[in-house]
Amino acid sequence: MAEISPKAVVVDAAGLADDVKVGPFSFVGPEVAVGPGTVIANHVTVTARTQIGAGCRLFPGCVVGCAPSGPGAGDAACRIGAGNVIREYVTIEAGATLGDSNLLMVGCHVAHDAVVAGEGIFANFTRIAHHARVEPFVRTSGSTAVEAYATVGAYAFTTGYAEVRSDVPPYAIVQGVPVRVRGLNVENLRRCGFDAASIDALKRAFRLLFNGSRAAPTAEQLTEAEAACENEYVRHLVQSLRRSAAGTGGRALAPTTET
Amino acid sequence: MELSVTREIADGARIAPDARIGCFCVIGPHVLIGPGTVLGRRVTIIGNTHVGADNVIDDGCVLGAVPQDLKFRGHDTWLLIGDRNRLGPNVTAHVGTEAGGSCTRIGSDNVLAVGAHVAHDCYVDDAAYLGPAVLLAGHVRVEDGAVIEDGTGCHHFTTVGRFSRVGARTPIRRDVPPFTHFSSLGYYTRPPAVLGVHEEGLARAGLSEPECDDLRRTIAYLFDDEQALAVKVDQLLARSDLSAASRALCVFCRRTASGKFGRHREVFRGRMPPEAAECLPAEALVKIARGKGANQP
Repeated sequence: MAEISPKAVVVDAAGLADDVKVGPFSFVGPEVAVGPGTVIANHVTVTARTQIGAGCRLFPGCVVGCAPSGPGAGDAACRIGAGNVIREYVTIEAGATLGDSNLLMVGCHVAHDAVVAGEGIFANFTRIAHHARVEPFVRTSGSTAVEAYATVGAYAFTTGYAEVRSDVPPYAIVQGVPVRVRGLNVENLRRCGFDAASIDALKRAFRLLFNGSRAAPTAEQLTEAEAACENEYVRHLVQSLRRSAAGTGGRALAPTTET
Repeated sequence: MELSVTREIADGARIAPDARIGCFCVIGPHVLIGPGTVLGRRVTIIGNTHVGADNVIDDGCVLGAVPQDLKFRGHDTWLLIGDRNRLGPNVTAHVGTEAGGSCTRIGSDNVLAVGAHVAHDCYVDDAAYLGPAVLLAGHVRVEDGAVIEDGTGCHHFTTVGRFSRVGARTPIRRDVPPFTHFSSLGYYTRPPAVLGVHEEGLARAGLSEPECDDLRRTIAYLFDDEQALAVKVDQLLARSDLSAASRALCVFCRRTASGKFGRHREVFRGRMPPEAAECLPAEALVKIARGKGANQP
């Protein structure tokens, strides 16, 4: 039986796994399913058709499954994977999807239809707009804004106040308003166990592809980098950049009708 | 003290009889709240959090939650808040981490506006102002009387000097010298820098007019062009007629240079800073010395 504070409101406790904890003054809506070991602190709201995986921690004041702030998602489901840490005053709209083991620090916002793959660390007040996609192992600094339909590539890092308007290449450090590529996120790659040869290949590729300006690499540069640096990660990088270049405004996911 | 079903106050919480606790507040078992402190509605105070006297803590504040630091392993750590602070709505402050000194401290007479965030192991001294949504990363020190305007974020281990003023939405990546106005010059075209003297800070610090003049000259000399800053600091410190305030500014610059990346406090990475031993209560120091603790998150 879930451990529910008598001061909490849980509309249908059947959706909660046996060892879920719900703190005082929290609200858990009727269509919510919560996996085992998840701890919902006080003053938390979980509403809409929301599924929360096992071992998550929801801190005071966060809202999961809130109504989308723009037109769109309707009654879409909100899916949160396992082992996520959702800190104070984080808001996640109905229709958003989170993978496993993300850390969303105080005040982060994930809008409807955004997809956050997993293993990400999002610093305070990171805002991920609707239909954006965040690949695994991304790290953001405070006040990062990811705009609608933008993709943040795997292992990328955004610095403080970064404004992501077009796709961020995987493995990159990006900075600025709007962002430009500052270099390779070597530290994160090392921590995530990339071998030295792959990091060297990516460094060479980055030197060929990015010159510090906001300009996206040309098709010739991409071909050159792919040929010069024979490495699976470089191929992934080049493919991502090609997808981004093909999309509207440098965003692979952008609908073609959008201007 | 009013108590009713609309509050959740754990056994063991020590709350002064004349402290006022608003409705829907949640108070944890290791919390201490001093006399005259007023909590608004929906305030959460958990962890080893000690709140002094006559503070006003507005609706929705969350104080004493576990740090957002992946190295934190649930040791006993503290959040210490002094007297007469005003915390706006939804302010968040976290307890310290063991590796960073086990203590986050907010001094006295500070104003923290709506949504400000004080992370683990930060030291906010006295009479500082943190504007709306100011973000302090871990291990930051904000010295007496500093003014940080809205939306500004401070990098880990930075120091904001005494009576300085930081402009809105300025990314602080290095130490801000005391008595200066520090801000971005053109958004992201140039890194933020010292723009001049924070005159209001001089007035609030209660300096004499000759001292103010000397400080204005020193700030202009050092920061109009930051080339060869260390040499200029050495020159100034060698002078015997330098005012105390200017001397403190020069010492601050020298300390900054002794750190890494323009941040003095980098030297405290992974060890206890001197402030922690000064402000932690005796019981805390005993617990840390014993190397035990099981903080209930």
